[in-house]
Amino acid sequence: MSEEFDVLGLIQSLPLFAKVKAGAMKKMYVEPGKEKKDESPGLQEKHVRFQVANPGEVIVRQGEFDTEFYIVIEGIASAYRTESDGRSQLVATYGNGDFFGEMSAISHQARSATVKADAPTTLMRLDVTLFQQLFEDKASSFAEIIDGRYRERALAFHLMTAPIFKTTSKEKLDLVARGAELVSFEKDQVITTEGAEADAVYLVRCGIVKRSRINAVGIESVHDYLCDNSSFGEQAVLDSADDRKWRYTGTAMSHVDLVKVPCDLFRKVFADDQSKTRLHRQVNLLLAEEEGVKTALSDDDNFELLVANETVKGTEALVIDLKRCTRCNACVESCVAVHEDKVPRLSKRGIRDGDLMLSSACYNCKIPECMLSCKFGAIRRDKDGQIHIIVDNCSGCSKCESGCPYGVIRMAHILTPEERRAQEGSIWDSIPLLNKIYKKKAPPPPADDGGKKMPKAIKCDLCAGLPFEACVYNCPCSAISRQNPEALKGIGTIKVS
Amino acid sequence: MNSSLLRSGHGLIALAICVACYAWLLVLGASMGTRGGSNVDYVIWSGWIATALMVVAMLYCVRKYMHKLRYSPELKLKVPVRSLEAADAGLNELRRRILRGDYKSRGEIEKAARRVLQDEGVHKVVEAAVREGDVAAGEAGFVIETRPPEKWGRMSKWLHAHAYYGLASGVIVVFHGGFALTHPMGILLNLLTALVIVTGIVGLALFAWGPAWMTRHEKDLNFEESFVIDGSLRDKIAALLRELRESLAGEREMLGALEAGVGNYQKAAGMFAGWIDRKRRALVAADRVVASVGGEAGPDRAALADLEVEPGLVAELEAAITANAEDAKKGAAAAKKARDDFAKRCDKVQDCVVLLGQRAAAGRGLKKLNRIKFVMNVWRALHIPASLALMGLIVLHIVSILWY
Repeated sequence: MSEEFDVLGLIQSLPLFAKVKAGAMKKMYVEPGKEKKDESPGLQEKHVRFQVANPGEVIVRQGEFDTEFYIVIEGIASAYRTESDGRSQLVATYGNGDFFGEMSAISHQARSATVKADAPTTLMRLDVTLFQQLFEDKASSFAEIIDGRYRERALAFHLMTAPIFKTTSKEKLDLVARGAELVSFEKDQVITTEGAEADAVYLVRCGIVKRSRINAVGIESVHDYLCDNSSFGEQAVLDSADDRKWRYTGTAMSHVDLVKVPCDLFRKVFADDQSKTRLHRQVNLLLAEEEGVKTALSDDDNFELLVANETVKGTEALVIDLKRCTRCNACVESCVAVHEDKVPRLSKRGIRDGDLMLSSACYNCKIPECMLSCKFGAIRRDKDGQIHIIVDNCSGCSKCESGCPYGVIRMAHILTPEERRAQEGSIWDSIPLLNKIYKKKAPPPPADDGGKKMPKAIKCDLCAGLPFEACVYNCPCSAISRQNPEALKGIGTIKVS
Repeated sequence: MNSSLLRSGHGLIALAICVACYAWLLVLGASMGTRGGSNVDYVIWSGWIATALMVVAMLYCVRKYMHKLRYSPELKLKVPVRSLEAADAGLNELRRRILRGDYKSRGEIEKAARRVLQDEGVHKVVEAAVREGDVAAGEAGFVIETRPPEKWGRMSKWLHAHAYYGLASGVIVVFHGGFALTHPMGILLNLLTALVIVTGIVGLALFAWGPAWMTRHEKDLNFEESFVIDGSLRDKIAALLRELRESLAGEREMLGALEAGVGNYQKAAGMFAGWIDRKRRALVAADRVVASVGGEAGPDRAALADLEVEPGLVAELEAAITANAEDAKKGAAAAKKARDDFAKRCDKVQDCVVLLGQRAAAGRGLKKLNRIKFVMNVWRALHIPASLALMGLIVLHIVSILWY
């Protein structure tokens, strides 16, 4: 963008930002004269960037994890979806002022379509942190337009993924989409109460819903956690009042956006006998399946343990087999060796079950609470689904540290290369026994920076860019391995290879 | 028990080498302890084989320290995350084309995937494997999976090589030298080999049963945490004692009890009970003195007399009162400060006793863990220096054989 380009004028001219609060706008653009001491006027590149795509260039790719939100400033781009049979079909075309990427930015799920530029196209890219801030302000035009577009573009498609609508025709789905409500709940807010009359079917747009019930001895027992695209409350459409009761209490575990389909709407849309019978059959099947699942889960104490520890949320876990680990510390030493700052990312703490320990290494959660809690764009997910910390953007606020349910993120003082060299000493310092003879000189005391130097967030980066994962690669006892938490449901019986 | 070391390809190779050497010995018609029937070829070859096996066994340590000290060439292969993302995008495009039916054979896909990785310069840190999709899991056609190449092999495999080739070298040394203890070099070489092999076998036993042993004795805290907490308590006590050495200069008995450490905790605690009681009484008297400063009757001399047992505190209070004789308000503040400083010193002694108590309690749980740690350290202290000495002697042995 050239210096003369009126970025603020451009942002304000977009209907999306018509009623955006000044605080949020400040995140995008700092007006000359209104900047703080450590800010420079102009575009906040941390959160907003521009991109020029050539004709044919892929802007976002289906299946990739990339949570940025795109606005077409000038040009044309088209979205194509590749179906499971390999067929590619055009789903939308975007012109000036149009936007895309809102579904991934809301739900942190992989892209549902590939978007290519049809002509030279200038795009404005908002990072997920800024997008979430704008979207959570439900009074602004931004959230209203995004919700409207979601209803128009994606809701019918989303409804189709819910098991209850598997056999429903396209026309009826459109009717449901028109009457459905978009509702939000904050963390720990109760969505449904066990025993109360079910009044709607809910679909999870983003966030996590915990379903629990009070067991025979009066203790809350977790049934399951529902993530994006899950649905619950299907019994609401049944006729008998006894059947229509909520079987579980649903609680929001984070900020949750839901699609609420009221049962009145079902009665209206599925009024004819044939479609009503088909719907009821589908619901009965689902409820029977749910009961079956419940029996299977409650038999598995280990799964309860994992659910209680939120382990099922993650996509990868670092497992230490304590029957094999000789506590030689080679894993931590190799972790230190591969990081320039010499700060180990591996922590040998975590959930322990018998001889296995799920170490607190990054699980790359489906819904990363660290990323949602970071307001500085310092935590991002790469296209492979892995979470990275951009150390330069980290302000040291430590919100990610408290946001991470596994205690993976730690705050540490990152040494400068000079400080590191001073601490390292000579080669003799690192050789066992010899380092006792050639004693390391005491490192110089850290320079007094008046408290300016903040600790930065660090976490396991899976040794990105290296041909191995250091802790797993350098364990002489084969005690560490990476496992899918889904495979750990019978944690006592898994084999570590 | 960790039985992974018992299932090893290196173990089979090492066994085959030993069997071959023994078979050769039988062919020569020699029995054990006869130096291969004095067959020069056998002696030379068995010597070189044993040396080669020892060198291979030592490579484990070289590999370990190269990585630890950041000299491993593998660390130089690091590529930027941006390149990895670009390669991933390229592979996704390839996956799309596979679904579209652009590729028919696994070979074609493997070649194309390799090209994508090479184009982005990440082929040394990522390798692509192609397999047929699992239809039941909804995977159509061929599936490309990426994984780190781990070209040098995992350390666990190197440990297998270390253990089995090291063991085999010991066996072949016996074939080679016949365990002859007739001259100093032979005695040293044979004894050191025996020591390395025996400690190695002990190491294997620790490797197999040690982890389960440790896990059994870990309670709320794991092995490392227990020692970290003990170390932290030790450091805190040492820091407090440094401060107290000056302030308790006149109370050598109390200071000595604190400095005696955890082993003497019971005595220190008993002595502290009487000591703190005296200090509390002194503080009550000091409060009376502070309250009286600035009053019409002047400082409470009776209270000062009660403080006789604390001459240091008396001196400080007197100094505060005398220095501010003209300003009663200032005098009261200075006396209060002297009283508070005294109270703080008492608190520090109390903190030190509490920390000693905590360390003594934690130490009871640490006893067994300490025993395990001691065994590990003894093993390491024997195996590593003996191995280094053995390698030195082998070099000397070879040089002397070649020289003479």
